[in-house]
Amino acid sequence: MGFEVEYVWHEHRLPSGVDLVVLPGGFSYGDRLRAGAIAAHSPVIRDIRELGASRTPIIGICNGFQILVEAGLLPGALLLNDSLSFMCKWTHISVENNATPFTRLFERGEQIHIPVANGQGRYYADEATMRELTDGNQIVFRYADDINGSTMQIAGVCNSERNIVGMMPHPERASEPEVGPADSDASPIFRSLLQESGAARQ
Amino acid sequence: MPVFDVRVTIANKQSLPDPEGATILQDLVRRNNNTDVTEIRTARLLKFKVSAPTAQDACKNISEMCRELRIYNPLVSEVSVESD
Repeated sequence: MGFEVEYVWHEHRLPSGVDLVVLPGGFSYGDRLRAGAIAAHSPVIRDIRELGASRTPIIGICNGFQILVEAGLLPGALLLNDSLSFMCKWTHISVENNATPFTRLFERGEQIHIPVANGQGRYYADEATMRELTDGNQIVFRYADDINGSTMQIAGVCNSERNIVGMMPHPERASEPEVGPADSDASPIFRSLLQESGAARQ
Repeated sequence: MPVFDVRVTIANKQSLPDPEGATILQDLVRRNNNTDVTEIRTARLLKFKVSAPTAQDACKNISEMCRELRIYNPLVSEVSVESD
């Protein structure tokens, strides 16, 4: 897509000159204690914290979202799904906020067909956090249906500066026709990032 | 310095639903005619061995450590720390 990408091991520091950071999904420390709770203390998080404070775009997907929440970089908590089971299915989400570096190529309210795959994906926010999210327009994605008991069917949120976004669904599995159904296209998330970082100039 | 056993119990706040406890209650306990049981809440127990001058110090140190390392999530969990 025009990015020069570097994988960084979580115990290492980030290289300098990073335009954006993606914390991918998967599992860290086998979800022990809570999903993301141990990885939130990995050395690389110190650099991510600094980059976040300097408004560098950062996106956490699935376990990446859980890590950002546990690191205190995003509000709320991610709890066991209502079903108490690992959930792996295709679902629909809507774009609630298209004023983030990751969603600017979407229309507000646009629906995305996208997969979820998690055990601890039920987003929870208490009343005070919900007020903060609503007042700051920090709800980025919502599920079209109540698939796991998330507060307000929230699937993704951002920080108050909107440069850090976390989402439970997997846009990287819905961005290429080879791996997703014909009507799935979450690629604007990544294309928005290209535009944001200037990498699209190539 | 003496070594103390410190138990840290982490549970969802009462205001939060506990689907695991609810399932145990509905589908096991009450289904088997234990109708006098009205609620079950699950929790996680961490058992520490810690050296400290007194049991009180041991609890205090572990409480602080749990808060610092976010061993529990204060948004959703309540925690109790005790030693013998």
